Amino acid sequence: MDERPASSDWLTAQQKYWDAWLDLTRQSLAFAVPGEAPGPAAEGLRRWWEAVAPAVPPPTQELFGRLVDLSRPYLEMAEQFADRTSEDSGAALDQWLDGLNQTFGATERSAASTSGPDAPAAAALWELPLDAWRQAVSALLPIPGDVLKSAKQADAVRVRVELKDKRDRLLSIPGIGYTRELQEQYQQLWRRVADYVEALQHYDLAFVRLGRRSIENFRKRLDAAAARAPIDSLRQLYDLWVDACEEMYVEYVLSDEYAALYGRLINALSAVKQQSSVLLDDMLEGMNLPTRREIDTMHRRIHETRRENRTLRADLERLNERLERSGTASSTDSKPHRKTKHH
Amino acid sequence: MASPRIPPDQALREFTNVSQKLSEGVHNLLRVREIPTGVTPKEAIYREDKLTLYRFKPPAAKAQTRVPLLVVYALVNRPYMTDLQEDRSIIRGLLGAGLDVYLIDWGYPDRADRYLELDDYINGYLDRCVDVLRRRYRAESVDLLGICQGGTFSLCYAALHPDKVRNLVTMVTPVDFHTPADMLSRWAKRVDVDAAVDAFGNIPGEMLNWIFLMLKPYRLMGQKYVDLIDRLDDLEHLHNFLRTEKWIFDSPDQAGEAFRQFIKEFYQENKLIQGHLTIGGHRVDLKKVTMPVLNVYAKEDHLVPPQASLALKQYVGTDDYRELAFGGGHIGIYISGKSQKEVPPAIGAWIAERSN
Repeated sequence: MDERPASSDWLTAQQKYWDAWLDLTRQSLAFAVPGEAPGPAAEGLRRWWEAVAPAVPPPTQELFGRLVDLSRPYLEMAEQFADRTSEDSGAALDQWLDGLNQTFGATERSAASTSGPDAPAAAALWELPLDAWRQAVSALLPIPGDVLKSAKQADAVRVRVELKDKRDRLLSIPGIGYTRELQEQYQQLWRRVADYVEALQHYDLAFVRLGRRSIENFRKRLDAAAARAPIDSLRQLYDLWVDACEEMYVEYVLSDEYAALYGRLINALSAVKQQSSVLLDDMLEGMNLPTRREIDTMHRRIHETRRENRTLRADLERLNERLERSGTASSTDSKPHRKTKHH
Repeated sequence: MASPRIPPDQALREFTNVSQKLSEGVHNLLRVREIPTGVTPKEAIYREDKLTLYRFKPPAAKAQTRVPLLVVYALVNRPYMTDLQEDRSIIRGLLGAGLDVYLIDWGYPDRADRYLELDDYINGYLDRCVDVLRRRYRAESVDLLGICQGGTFSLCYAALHPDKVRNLVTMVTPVDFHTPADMLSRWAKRVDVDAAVDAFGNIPGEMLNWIFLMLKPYRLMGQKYVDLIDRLDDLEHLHNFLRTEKWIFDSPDQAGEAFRQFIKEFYQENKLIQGHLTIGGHRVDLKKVTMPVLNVYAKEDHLVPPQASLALKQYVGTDDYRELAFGGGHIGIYISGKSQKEVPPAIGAWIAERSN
């Protein structure tokens, strides 16, 4: 029996489309003129996936989307190498690495984003930790986790420097009137959100710098690997690339500088969460609804009561045992032939 | 820089191969049904709050030991990693080694559990599970197998209640939290854990997922999936991958107060080995761990560095201390074929030697 779901026919059609497209791409790559710009194969994969994705159930969609995203740098690399002679593959690699370096350089100089449309797909590798962070934060805060995703470093840094002082002064204006306390609470929230955004920018920038160092490390590793045996497949190159990145990463994240960045990011997030809860509780109180504070107090009291109960019950059991033992002992004294009861 | 020599037709072949595997892989992914976790039949013999104490059903023909083995897993992950699939199950291996195996499933804490402390987990839940088994077997003591954070808990428990533990096995267990390669400890240094617990109540599982992924971000968030593309056509491999994937992202929220204590007193202040740790008002003195101890560690553990586990030898009071090195990593020790052949039989044999 065919176990495939009903959407399978449509997917088969999509697969045929992809195969035909792939065939064309193969031909164009095989007959490409050396030195010309590579074909849009990696981009084609993305577009193909956008067409297929709606027919795929969400959990599978997420996994497969990830596979497509992560295979793009690999395919991008393949396109560049297929476009050159084997003697010229060093130039292809140089071109690829230079593209990455330029993206990181531009990001560091605050002129672009590593996830921008012009950035090489491989630059997205350094976005992975930040992407995972954004996803985690989305589930924890009322503000979107990708609050900075589209903001270019340039804008963010410039705005931060130019406006920080003004922002701080604005957020320090004393509240007035009946809503004075509420105004101050909101000022506090915005101060904390600004601190969090700044912490996130610093964290982001650290990964951009790490990316540049990883490229250098990759070049060194390439020399060392080539001295042992020639690298003759893309897969070898990709694995070497990941090893080079992990090595630099481990070195960096064990440093005090990283511990400080990491601590600042988590602490800033906690501060935003704390202040959001204060405001939310005030709102709930205004609507005569139970607040988080009240529920926490109840939970703490219940917890303390249960612990006291357990302690008392244990004391009671001990006393009962002692009583039983002393009772048994006295009855054993008076009736020496009776067997002792074991527990 | 040395140049790779990748002929264009090789690049083209690899390009075609990845593209085709992806295209064909969609069909296999759609054939994946629900991923079952925990394969060995088991029965619940005790429940309390979110906790369940399970007994795994032993193979009919196999004689079991008279003293049960209680497996204490970490709070930060789900215990089905020990019983992931039929040919990758530490639990099955232990049963096969003739042990009578019980396991504590701590469940998923919610906000009502925020005020649970380490005292509640160790002197409360864990102690009551041990008592259930002592009554059930009319035994003075039981054997304990603590895994990862559960190993640290078991160690504390053994120090606080040495009369109730006959043999102690610790597996990939952090003991010294300040070894040079310990990333988690470095990262925890500047985190204001009081502020985090006060703000979040319970520490969200999403946060833990991120922390664990950050231990090896490029491998765990990148290379792992590229490797999968190569084997998308293998449905069984895909199932196994998805099982592990489910486990990796299945991190329960952490009860706030217990998390606060664990990070501050273990990771930030390293009190366990300094002899300054108190739980429920009682000092945890590792010299009171006088029962036989088997310390199983993974040589390539990225989460609990081997040195963090091996420190145990210096601090315990027992004369019967042994180590078992596994040539793999923190995940491999649960699921690799090599581990199935080496680790459970060695634990079984070690316990059998100490069972009179």
